[in-house]
Amino acid sequence: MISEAVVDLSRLQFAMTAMYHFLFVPLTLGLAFLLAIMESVYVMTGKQVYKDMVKFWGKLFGINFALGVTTGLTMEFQFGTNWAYYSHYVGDIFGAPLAIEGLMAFFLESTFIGLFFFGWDRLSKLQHLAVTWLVAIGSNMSALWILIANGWMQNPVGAEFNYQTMRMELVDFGALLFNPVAQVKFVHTVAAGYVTGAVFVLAISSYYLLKKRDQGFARRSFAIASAFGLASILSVIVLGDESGYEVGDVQKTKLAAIEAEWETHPAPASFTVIGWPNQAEQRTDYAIKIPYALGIIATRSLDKQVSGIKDLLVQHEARIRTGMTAYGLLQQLREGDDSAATKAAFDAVKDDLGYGLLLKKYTANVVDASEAQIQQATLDTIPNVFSLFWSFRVMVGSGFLLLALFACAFWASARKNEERKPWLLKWALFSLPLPWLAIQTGWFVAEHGRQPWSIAEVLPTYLSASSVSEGDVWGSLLALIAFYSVLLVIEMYLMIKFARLGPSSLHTGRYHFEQAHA
Amino acid sequence: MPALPSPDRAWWRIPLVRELAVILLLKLALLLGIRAYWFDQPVVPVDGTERVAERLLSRVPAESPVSHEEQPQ
Repeated sequence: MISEAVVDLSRLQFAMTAMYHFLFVPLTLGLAFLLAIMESVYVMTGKQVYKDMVKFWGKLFGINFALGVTTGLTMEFQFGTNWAYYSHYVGDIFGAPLAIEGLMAFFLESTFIGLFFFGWDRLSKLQHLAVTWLVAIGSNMSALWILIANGWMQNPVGAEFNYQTMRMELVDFGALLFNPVAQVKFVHTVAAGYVTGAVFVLAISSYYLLKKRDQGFARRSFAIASAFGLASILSVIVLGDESGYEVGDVQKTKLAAIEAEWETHPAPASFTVIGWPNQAEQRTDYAIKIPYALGIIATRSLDKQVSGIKDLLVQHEARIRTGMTAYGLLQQLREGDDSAATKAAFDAVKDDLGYGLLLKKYTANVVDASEAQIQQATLDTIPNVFSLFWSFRVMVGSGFLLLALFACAFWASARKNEERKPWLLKWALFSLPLPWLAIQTGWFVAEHGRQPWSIAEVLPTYLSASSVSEGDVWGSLLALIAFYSVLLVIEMYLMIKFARLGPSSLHTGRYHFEQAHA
Repeated sequence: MPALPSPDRAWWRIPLVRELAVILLLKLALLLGIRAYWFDQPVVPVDGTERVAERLLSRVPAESPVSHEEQPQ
């Protein structure tokens, strides 16, 4: 049988590298646009302080960008090293957006980032501004293609299984590109990145204001970050709601698990604010509910039901049984029986082949699976409800806390009295980890919520991992942990060093430490 | 404020344009070199289709974790 330890270790390695990579990505997405806005203000007003802002925040952006690139590369290699069967099965589709991302977006971004840093004395104001906007657009394009690839894993549209090549083949590039799950994921994710950039600038500016140094610089940074942050967090919440609607439409199991909906209740379903999901007993203890809310969010209606986990299990069991038939027919086709009748029979049931493959975890020959094995595979189709339920609530709670922060910061900034509100400045400073907490829990919901699938309802994660030894994966996992820990120390050292120095690190002679030592 | 090039100055005489052109040529040469060295033909796994078919459809339960590992060339 396939080694479950290898599968689990490969998942741990990918999760670790992805979560680590996504410490840097959202800050890149957000800071790039903030730099473009700050430089636009500089070009419009001609005030030197805005140019200093672009240069200072650009320095922190550069440190973060370098680390983001380094950590992203190892993820793409893992598709080959740790997920070889996944790569063969879906590489035709999954590889296309990744390649386009490298060729189109990353080339654009990397070419113009050099001009951004070294072009100040060689480009006119307008030329440099165009470069900064192209860096911002390039980083967002990069995110678009990655999220198209990820959206396909959640909702695999535009592809067909070919029994001759034993893989999924792309039949409709437009469907892949305009996959509704990918589109809502893209706007939700980049807006979360904008929030991260805004919180970063707001928190460090608040630190300078609390220390009463570089106040003109900090006040202007605070103003831009609070306005951009408020617009962005409102977008995140609205687009997150849209994302919830899409999840409800195409990923019913994930939605039911996030909401711990065990039963299919009469429409419109109520929303469980908090509770204690008990997966073994299939119930939620101590639940506090808001009537009608889930039905309205997930279905945009008052008369459509939200499927409960118990009903979904019944549906999944039926699909596993159909999948067993599909599996048997695929065996016949592969053994040479390619008659029209066999092909037609397979085509009729091949959408459930993935469900049949879930049984491979329990039996070598799926068509002979016992009732107990079918029941076990059926239970596997529901991801861990408790962790999804609470991760989702941590994400949403963090989002609403940030909305309150940005609303207060924007109000204070508009009235030009933020310096007289130390509580607000401390609140902004200590909110620095919040967007990362929201983003990491959000990705956990998206990816863990897709389990037991690597490609939803097509390919089980269990069958996707490479035929490598446990020792190999331990070796690469430990090496990556060691390497990434070194990178994290370098990142934190540089970020803290330059954030503490502030605009004095530009050596213009206009800022706190240079004047203090003059 | 950087000096703007005079209208009668040819574009290839502008230092920034020359530097960008050199950087792009170096990038192109590097990419072509990588392609020639590692990607001169499509990288198709040995018996990829059969190996996937065996993993998904085999009736035999045993599978050695490293039985199919390719040897580096």
